[in-house]
Amino acid sequence: MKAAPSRQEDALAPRTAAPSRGAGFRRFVRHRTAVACLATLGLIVFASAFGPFFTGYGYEQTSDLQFAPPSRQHLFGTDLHGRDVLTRVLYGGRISLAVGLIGALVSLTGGVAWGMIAGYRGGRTDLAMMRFVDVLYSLPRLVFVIVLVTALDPPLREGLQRLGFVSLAGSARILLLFAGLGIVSWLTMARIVRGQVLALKEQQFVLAARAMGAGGRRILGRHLLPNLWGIVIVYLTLTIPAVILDESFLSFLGLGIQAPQSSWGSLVSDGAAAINPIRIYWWLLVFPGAAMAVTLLALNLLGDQLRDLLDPRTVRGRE
Amino acid sequence: MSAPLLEVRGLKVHYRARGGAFVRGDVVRAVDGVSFTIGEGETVGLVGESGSGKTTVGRAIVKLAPVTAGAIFWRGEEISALSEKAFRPHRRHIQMIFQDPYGSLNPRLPVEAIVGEALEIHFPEMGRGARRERVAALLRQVGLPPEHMARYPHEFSGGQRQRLGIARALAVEPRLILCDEPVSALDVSVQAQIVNLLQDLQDQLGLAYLFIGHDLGVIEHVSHRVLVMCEGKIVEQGSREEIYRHPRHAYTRRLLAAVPSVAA
Repeated sequence: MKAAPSRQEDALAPRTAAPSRGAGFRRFVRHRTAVACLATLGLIVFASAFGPFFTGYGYEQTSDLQFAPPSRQHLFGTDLHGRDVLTRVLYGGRISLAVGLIGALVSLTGGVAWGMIAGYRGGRTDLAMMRFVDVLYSLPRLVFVIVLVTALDPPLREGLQRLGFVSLAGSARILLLFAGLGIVSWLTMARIVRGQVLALKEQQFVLAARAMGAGGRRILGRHLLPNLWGIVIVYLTLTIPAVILDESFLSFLGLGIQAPQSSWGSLVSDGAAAINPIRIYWWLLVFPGAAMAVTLLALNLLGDQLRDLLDPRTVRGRE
Repeated sequence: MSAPLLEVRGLKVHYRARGGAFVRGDVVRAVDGVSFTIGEGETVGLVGESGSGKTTVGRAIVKLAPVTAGAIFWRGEEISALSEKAFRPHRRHIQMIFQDPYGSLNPRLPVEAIVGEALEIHFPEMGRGARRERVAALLRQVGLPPEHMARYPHEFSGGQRQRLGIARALAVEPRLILCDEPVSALDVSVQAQIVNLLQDLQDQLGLAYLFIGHDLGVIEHVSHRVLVMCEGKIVEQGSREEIYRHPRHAYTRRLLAAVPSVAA
């Protein structure tokens, strides 16, 4: 029993206890954090999408100005080939964010649907579906992506060329990277959602809906899904950074994005490669690293806020 | 006389207790050969201690528990053999009220959606406005202000939530309501309010109730006839007076003797 059993009953009294000042202040601060995170993320997305057009340099445009420190001409400095780091960070943001978005979409659609169906149907369906997840889970995720990318890259490239998608053939590797990271990103979500559904479907309100004549689709969509949003959002905001980090790590190893294209991970990798005992070109590491850190931090904080905001029990005031 | 509203004949619900992957579990006889009838506008009390299978009887009637053997008739038509799809139109006539006023309302849905859901299912052609009006009328009927339609369940007390559960059950104008321990989770003072509400509604609407409970006092108060259930079987049934004044079965006597009574 959740509420105090001794609560005095007054059948008609409206329950609108004014929230205390402290709670109001806390909620305001929380809202403000959420808004700030959203604004930061919006800014990063906007800058990555449109920024590269306005820096005055192309992301692959080289010059004689090697390893120039940040200056008015190159706000983030230049790299080994004299390319503008600001442009490359913004351009890299596109790839990193796109990877995160793909991971989010796959786990939001695939993971949630998979987990809900397995949990709700139960029995053999559940057994088969979750063993499939277990099998994928037991593969080391990065090794899986690496093998996928290296094994399928040449045939996919060739196939695309033969089919006439010449422009796409150049990005066969990126497509595979997206696909591979997508495949490994929904597993945790599926497990979490299934667990939640198993607990939720025994609740009396689900029984009530069934007694009323609600079908499976209605129960899943109307009754279970709204009760899953909180946890889905939380795991989503954990998935996006994880996928972005995976991509960065693969690019860092030289297996993901390849020059002259860039992602935050490959930029950090380039920066680390340029370190030598005599000079450290800090701007090659700090700027892409900061972009990544700010994005991941904002995502994590936002997820925390959203979980609170999506719960009507906290939105509406009491508790 | 025509067929009773509901007739349950030799109902058995057996579960196989969960074994391992290769071990068959034992059979649990939750309900083992139960027969009774409920007439139009009648309240039948079903008493028994925890684990006696009384809740399962209610669930089997609306296909929330699998019927192993026996048959259930609604106005003479066998409903236990119907497929889920063929049974759906009948669900309108048999609604349920649940024990737990907290767990039985979806915490993420506003009252309007909770009470109006049965209308959405059984009267899909009903417009949003008409549904709203109906929900408002239902809330008024159970003693809640219609303005509370936009609120969420956590904003209500236990008794108010049980009123919401009743409003939800009434939405599609059922003839029979299965009340699964509707007051046993409530404070005693609130129990009386809810029981009175149910009786008022019965007088107004001519509802029949299957009133499942373990509280003999409440059952005596509401029931016309009483069934006593023990280990999946009905050990005794009769009118309220017979059961309470002249219990014949030893189990009934034990049950009555165990009631902590306040000298009336």
